Amino acid sequence: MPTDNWTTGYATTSASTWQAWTSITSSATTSITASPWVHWASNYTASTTATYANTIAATNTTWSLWSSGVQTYRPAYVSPPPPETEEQRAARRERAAAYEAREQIRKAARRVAISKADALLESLLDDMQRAQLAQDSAFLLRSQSGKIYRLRKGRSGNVDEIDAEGRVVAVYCAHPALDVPDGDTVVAQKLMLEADEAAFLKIANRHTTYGRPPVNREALEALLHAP
Amino acid sequence: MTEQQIADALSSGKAVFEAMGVEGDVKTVWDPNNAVEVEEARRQFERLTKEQRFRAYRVTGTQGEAGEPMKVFEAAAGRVIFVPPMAGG
Repeated sequence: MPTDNWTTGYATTSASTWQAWTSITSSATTSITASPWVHWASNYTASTTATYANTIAATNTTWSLWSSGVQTYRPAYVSPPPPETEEQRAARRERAAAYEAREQIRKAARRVAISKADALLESLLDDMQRAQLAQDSAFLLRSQSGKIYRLRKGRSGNVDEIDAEGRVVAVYCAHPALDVPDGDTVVAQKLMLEADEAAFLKIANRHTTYGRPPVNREALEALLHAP
Repeated sequence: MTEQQIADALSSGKAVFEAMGVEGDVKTVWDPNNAVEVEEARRQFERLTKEQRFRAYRVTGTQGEAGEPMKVFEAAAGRVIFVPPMAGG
């Protein structure tokens, strides 16, 4: 329980914390000096009278000035910038054109990278996997330990562990730390799962299987019965 | 360099390094019978695997055969794919 100094009335001429905050008297004498709250919220200043006087004084309190729009406390008006000159407009358009040119080059380079990555991936698949990739943007493979995985074309959360019934039992996410195209990501995942599965599972984060569709039954049967 | 060109190089006895990168894989074709090229290939292998921590896999065949991890440089490796360090996502 707070002490008397927090809430109770005056026992001495020194006001409690609460009273000093909210009351209009600072002492038991007749002099009136406004408390912080009163200064904030009320529209008066100190008066020499013994009673509370809600008079509008020449110097208003913070809140009243804030809310009444008195010029003294009104935020400074910020005028809008001057209209763009012809030179500024030309410079702005030049910057935009240079940016657009750089973007075109970057996108063209990215398209080449994607094409190379896709060609690399195709070269590392068998005929059945190529057909699956073309149809579903995904293919099945048998890992080093004999498990079946579905690799979907993508970068993150694209490795599904599949059970014998074709259901997704786990989803893994591990990808190259470099921003390589998706084709290269899938190549990396395939190579690791087939030759370094333990290392892949150690690195990969495991995610929920919610919403993952089961595997195409025909493709699964083909893989299960492959020589 | 197309995949067909790579296949032709391999069938003529050359070796190929394919190192993944942001701009697609960088292919290096070298002659295992040329000492200078072998030494340069060895340096590239060491740089990628030891310094940049790439994983090297020897790949053979054309029907999706599993790759074989390579920890040590071999001049007779044939086709080698270098995979960047992996990160969980």
